[in-house]
Amino acid sequence: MNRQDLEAERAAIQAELNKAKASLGPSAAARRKRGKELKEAVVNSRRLRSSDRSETVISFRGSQALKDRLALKRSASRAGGERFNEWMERIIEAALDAEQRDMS
Amino acid sequence: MRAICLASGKGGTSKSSLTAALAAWLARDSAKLAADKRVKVAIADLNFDQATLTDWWGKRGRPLFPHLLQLTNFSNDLAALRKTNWHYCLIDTPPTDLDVIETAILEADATLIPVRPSDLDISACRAVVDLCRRRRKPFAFILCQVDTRPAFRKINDAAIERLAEMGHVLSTTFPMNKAYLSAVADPALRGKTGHEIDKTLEPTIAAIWREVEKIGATDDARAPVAAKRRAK
Repeated sequence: MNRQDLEAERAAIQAELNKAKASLGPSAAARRKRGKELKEAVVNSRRLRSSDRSETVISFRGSQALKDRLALKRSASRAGGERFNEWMERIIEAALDAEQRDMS
Repeated sequence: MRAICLASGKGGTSKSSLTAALAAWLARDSAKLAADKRVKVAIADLNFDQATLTDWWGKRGRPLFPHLLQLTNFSNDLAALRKTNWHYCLIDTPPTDLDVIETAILEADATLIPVRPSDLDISACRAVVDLCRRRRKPFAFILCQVDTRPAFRKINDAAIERLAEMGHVLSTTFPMNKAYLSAVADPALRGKTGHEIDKTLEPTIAAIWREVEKIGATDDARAPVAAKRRAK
């Protein structure tokens, strides 16, 4: 295979992969919007430390009932060994989804 | 598609060399075959600081196969490979960035943990083992840079026994062989892997791949080597 054919085939492979990537999940605009919503949802985040305990308290928009539900989920996910940042992202997304459902 | 992550939690364990060797082995005849007969092999270099695998791929002349994945969003990149019916993706990881390693473990179907027969290597790989267990992902160890001379047999056996306490150990080892090092002295060999320089190593890399492909595929593949030995 000569150099020109090789480059043409490489470009074809990359184009096929790019097309497949573009068809995955939400669009770039939707992802940007979601990211912005995620950031805005967090009202405050602070670290509480004492001699025997250390935890991060995150305040975000939502009803008290929703926050209670999330606290229960947090305990469950901690037992499963989930990483904190992943938990936080997932939980805030769930909160946003719940809010959207409540509003619609 | 089958995605295999190579991770060890420590540098210098042959992650990149083994990734390159396996990728080259899988893609060995691709250039000669018609497009529909090729084994579509991709490699992903998540070791962004050193980019050893990327460097190897460049020195190899940027072949079509293995195809070096252009990383934008790793999860999506891998999903695109799955969607377009690639056969294999081998993922090289950084030595110590556990966040990146964890992402690779999560996205891959199985993890291969290269370990040298050294006390420090065995201790260092525990972090990766923990990640695999926590994420319930299949994994196996491979003993690398193995000196096969009789004087080292006791050390190699002891390393295998210790690893077998944590999980499955491949019965084939990745040997310390001058073919894997000869590119240092000969620029013409840069970008080639050991079995391409010394054909007698082909059966070894073939045997390693046969075992790697089975990681997590059956319960038998996960059974510790020590248990199998005891059963004999």
